[in-house]
Amino acid sequence: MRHLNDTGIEERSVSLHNVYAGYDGKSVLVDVTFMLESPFFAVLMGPNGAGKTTLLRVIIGLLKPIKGDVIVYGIRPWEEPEVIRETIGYVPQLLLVRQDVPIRVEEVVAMGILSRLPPPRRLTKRIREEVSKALKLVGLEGLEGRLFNELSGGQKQRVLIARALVRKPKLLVLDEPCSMLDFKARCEMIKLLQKLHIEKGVDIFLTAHDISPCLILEPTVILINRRVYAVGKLRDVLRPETLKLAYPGLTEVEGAIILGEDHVAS
Amino acid sequence: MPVNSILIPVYLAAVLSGLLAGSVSPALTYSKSVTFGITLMHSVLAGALIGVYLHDALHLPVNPLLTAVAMSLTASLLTAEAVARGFPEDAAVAISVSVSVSVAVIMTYIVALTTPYGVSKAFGYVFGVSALATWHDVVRLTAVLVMVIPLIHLFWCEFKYVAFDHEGAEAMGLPVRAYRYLYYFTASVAAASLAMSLGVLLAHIIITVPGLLALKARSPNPFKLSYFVGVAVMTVGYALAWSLNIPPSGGVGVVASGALVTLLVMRRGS
Repeated sequence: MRHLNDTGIEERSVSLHNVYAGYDGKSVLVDVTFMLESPFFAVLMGPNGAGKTTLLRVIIGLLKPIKGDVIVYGIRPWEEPEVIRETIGYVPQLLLVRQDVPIRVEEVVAMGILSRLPPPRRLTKRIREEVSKALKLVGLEGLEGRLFNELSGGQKQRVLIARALVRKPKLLVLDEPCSMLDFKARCEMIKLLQKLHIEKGVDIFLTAHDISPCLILEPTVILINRRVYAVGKLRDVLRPETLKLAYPGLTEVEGAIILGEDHVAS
Repeated sequence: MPVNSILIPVYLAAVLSGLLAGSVSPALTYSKSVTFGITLMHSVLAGALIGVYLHDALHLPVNPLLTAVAMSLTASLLTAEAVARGFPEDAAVAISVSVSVSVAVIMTYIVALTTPYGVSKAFGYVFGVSALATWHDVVRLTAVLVMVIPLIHLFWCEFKYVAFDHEGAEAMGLPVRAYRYLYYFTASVAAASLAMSLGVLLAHIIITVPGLLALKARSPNPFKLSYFVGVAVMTVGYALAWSLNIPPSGGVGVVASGALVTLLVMRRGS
């Protein structure tokens, strides 16, 4: 079922209206409202415990809001999970992925396709070709046979992105894709996402603590700490007076703003 | 090793147990659920006590072996549900252990009051002795193997994937909860069967070692190694026990420990 207004804008946007969402009846997100019109490259920024992951779970349909409405390209995620899974590629935090399970890169990426099929889920020649294409797209061609846990942090993150891309999504939702990476690897990761956004037309929605690698992209920034404090272009949101709203522990020093333990904005 | 008609089921049970352990052990170790598998064996005691009480005290036509398996399944489902509701697996296992042990303690008291030999009989069902395996054990192990091995191989890809990244699997539409239930069900049936056929001590060893070796060998397809290790540890262990004139569990324990130590030394040296 499509939920469209007269302009049809909801067909090509991700919009949240007065959303309350959380766990065990307690709201983590309070009155969250914003709209991102495709094509977009958006960064969700906020302190720890701000509800960033919860918001992503709402958008991908893993969590139904307690109150409010969410429409992703004309669809309510929890009403049509099968359609949403084809529309959105989700990349979870690397921290949540078990690193000690001996699983090959090819198997990880192939699950993006295999999960659509009924058991028994076996790798076929066609699936292997799709996997190779997705790995090439993220710059990991030739690593199909390697074990996931033998890769570097940046490579692991790329494998998870390839797994999402193999489903050919319209929107890529990434939870902290730059965490556990050094600055150079963060910049490379953002470049890759930029390439996917520009060349493949994939909308990007990611959460980040440190958005400095994104500066050159001029992304749309959503500043959140349980509620949305600002939505706009980076230069408009990244101002001390705005940041102070979402980061209560914000300190200004010469040439930089210290947002908290590990949150620094230049 | 001596060969006569009495010992044939003992040797067969050893090989079948090795295969059964080889099939479930990778799933248990890959998903960090070894303690869960071991815990299930304790729930078997509670189930056996309930069965003995129903059979001996209330004279109902109930087979304690079935109640033992039923209790093991209940404990596994309780664990699966707790994990599905967000408890960490160790906490979920602790919950099912508490319930199982509470039932065992209460039933021990009730059975001791109402039957003359009920408690020792229940322990006899649970702590099977590998050297006394019978054709019944062979039939039971074969039946469990026929059920467990196809399930494990059919859904291995999914079990591994859920262990690797359950949130990603859920987001891609895999029925994570259903696979978790299926996995716990399979593990509980195998663990209960091994405990009843071999005894708890030997089952502890054999359910852990094959998967652990496959995991340490970092093999993406661990079954060849796991089946081989399961059967080899059992048969070499029995041979060692016979030659040293010690209980089979002791022989298997020595071989299993030796295999683990060898692997650790080799990995450290490499």
